[in-house]
Parts: sequence; C-alpha cells; structure tokens
Amino acid sequence: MAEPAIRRLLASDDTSRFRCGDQEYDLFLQRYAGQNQDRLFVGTTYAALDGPWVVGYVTVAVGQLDRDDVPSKVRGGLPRYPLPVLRLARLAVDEAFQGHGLGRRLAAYALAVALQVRAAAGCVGVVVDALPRRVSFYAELGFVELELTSGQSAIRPQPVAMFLPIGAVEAALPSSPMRRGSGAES
Amino acid sequence: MTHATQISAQISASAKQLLDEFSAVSGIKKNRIVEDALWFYVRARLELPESAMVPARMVLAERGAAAAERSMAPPPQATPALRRLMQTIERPDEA
Repeated sequence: MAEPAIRRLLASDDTSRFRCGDQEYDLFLQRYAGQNQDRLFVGTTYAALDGPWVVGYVTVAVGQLDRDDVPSKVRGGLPRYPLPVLRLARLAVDEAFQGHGLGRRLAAYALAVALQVRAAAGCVGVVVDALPRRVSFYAELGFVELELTSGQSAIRPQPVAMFLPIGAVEAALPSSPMRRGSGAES
Repeated sequence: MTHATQISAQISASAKQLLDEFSAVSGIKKNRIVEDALWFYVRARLELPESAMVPARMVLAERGAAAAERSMAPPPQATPALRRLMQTIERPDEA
C-alpha cells in the first residue's frame, strides 16, 4: 500500500467512499468540511489521498483561550488577553487504512500547521478535541486536559479538550536545539 | 443601514476589547462590525449543524487555566512520544 499524500482538501477530491467507523465523521467530511473551508472560512481540512480518494483527514481551525471567568488569584503568569491557539477539531482515517500510522502522520501534519500559524499570526499552542478513547494517545504526546466553561465541541460522545504548548512542538522537531544531547530518542 | 434600531448586550471584557481594537485598526464603525458579525454567524449556524461547528472561543475554568499555565512554563518540554511523532514531519502545503 503506497503512503497517501497529505495536502489541503480540494473540491475535486472524492470523499464518497470514506468510511472511518463513525458516521458523524464520515458525514462531516462528505458534507461540511469543504463548506467550512471554502465558503464559510471557519476551518481547514487536510486530506490524505490514495489516488483521487480521501482516506484520512484532519480539520483545524484558529481559536482562542480566554480566562474571563478565572479568579485573579489563579491568573498567575498568563496574560489577561485571549491566547491564540490552533484547534485540532477532527481527525479520522478510513477503515482500510487504519493501523498503518496514517493517523499519526495527520496529527504531526496538524502540529506542523500550528508552527506555521505561530510564525504567520501567533499561536501559543494546540487544543485537540480528543475522543475519550484517544485521550491516552494525546496525553503521551504531552497534551494536558483543559477544563472549559464554554467553547466545548458539540461532537458526541463529548470529546476531551486537551492542550499542548507550541514550545513543546518546536522542541520536538529534529532540528530543534532543545533536542541536542538529549539522547532520549533513537 | 435602513430602519436602524438599538440593542444592548452584556458581553465579556475580552470581546469588548476585541471590538474596540478591531474598530480602531480597521476604521470600521462598531455598529457595522456587530451587524456584519451577526449576519456571518447566523448564516453559518443555519447552514451547519452544531456538531459541524468548531467554537472559536474557549473559556478556561479555574483548573483549566492552571493546567495551561503549568504546561507553558519554560523551558518547553517535548515528550519522547512527541519527538517520535515529529521525527518525520511533513511540510504543510501552502494555503
């Protein structure tokens, strides 16, 4: 099986065969992802392609973390103004391509997009709406659970909002000076 | 704007700040920004089911704010799993 290429979703991409095991995620790709991206400009979807067919996707949108309701005693060192983030809203892989690392590649791709957003417009980190069964995967990557009072995803079952600071993403890059001498990875 | 009327609404301090700053930078009057934003929002909500929307604003609860602050404390740390994930990073295409 050739490795699917990943790029921004195009209107000409064929999403009709996509089946990930969750109909809501299939329907989102087939009906709403392009609309969100090209007409409403509220999110961008990056697609993994096997020929003309989409076999995986990740949808991201810019967002902000706000602390209006947080008492001053816990504001700590964070600024009062909203913090810009990239929200990883959906990630899904077609059943025929599951178990081959495509989901991990899409997650890495979204983190690379976050680095680009940071350079272009500012971004302090990534918030992922993690399905309950995927929380441990994101926790292993360093994401921490966020308790929100509003702005939760409406997907069901309710995802868990998790946060990863952009500094950690940069520190994980192969070229990062933060990696030199760590010897942690082979 | 024809048949203009007035509304009053309680909004967050940060939303008010965003409105003030955007109006100052863009030169667009605040009533026009509010009206345009409402049209965009309502149109989007009519065309998309709630589950297809990605809320742009997330308000942190007390524990959420503390967790975010702890995770952002320097120096930035990457877990071994994150390093492995980013080992074969692909350059996103230009939007």
